Amino acid sequence: MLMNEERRQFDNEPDLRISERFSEDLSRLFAPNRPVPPDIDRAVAEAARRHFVRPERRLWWLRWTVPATAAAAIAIACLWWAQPGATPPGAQQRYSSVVNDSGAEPATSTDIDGNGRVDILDAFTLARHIEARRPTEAMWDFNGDGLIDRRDVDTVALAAVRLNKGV
Amino acid sequence: MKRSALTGLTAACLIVMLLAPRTGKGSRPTEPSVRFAPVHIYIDSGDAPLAAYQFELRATTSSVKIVGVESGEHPAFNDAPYYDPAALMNDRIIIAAFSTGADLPKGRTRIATIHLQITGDTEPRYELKLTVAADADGREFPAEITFETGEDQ
Repeated sequence: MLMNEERRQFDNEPDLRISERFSEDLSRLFAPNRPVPPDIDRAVAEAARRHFVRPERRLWWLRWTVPATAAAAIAIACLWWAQPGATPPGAQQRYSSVVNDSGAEPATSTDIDGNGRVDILDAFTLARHIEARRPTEAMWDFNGDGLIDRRDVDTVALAAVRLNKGV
Repeated sequence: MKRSALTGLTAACLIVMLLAPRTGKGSRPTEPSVRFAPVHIYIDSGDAPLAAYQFELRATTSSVKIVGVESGEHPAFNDAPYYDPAALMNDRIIIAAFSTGADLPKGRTRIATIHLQITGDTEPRYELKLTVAADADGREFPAEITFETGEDQ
């Protein structure tokens, strides 16, 4: 109800009404001059179709290459990991670091008892020496921390059990 | 995009299904069995108190890898013994320990247990050599070293 009243009010507004003459002029100006022949219509449609189809053909190989490459990569990875003895990346590196840690050069003169070989008795001698608080020699500071303590005993003991020294 | 991903996944599955049986039966005809077993090491020091020892164990068959080391049964050797970490996943190890305490074992005592990974059904052979055994004063004495395999200690 209210809407109708508002519209009527709007139609009666003198400035917003379009004259019949003006309306006819607009129609004449924008109306098609003559009807489009069907063969031209078809040719335009065909040209448009060809234009939009061509890029898709060009991208055909790309659309198949990407998933095919991904599929091959997944398949190779699956087969490689399924093999016995295959180690995940990084495992070899971790093992190598363990070997390197233990392969550090031993301290010199760890033959404390002077019997010509480095064994657990050298570490044992040093440990007894430290526990009895007997005077120590500066050359027994094998780890170079300025102290002669249990850590030096460990250094000697680890030198005794090294695999690549030959006991 | 969804269609491409689906196509790729399907292709991957097909390739795996086609190739997996060939690699499974062709490149690894018989899968060797893998088992884990302990080797218990004993020293018989006789009447002498055992304060320090060092020995070397080597598996003479190539199918053995050392995977762990356990300490001895006597409180004097409860701490983990010394060994080279490089011996793990190897077939040879040198183990040593000492105790400066007053309570030391005498006679036959288990000084360590070595855990092994054995591949295949062949029973492995070992070489065991005692490098040194010493008393509380650091004096070496002759002792007998032996090993036992299996769960029983």
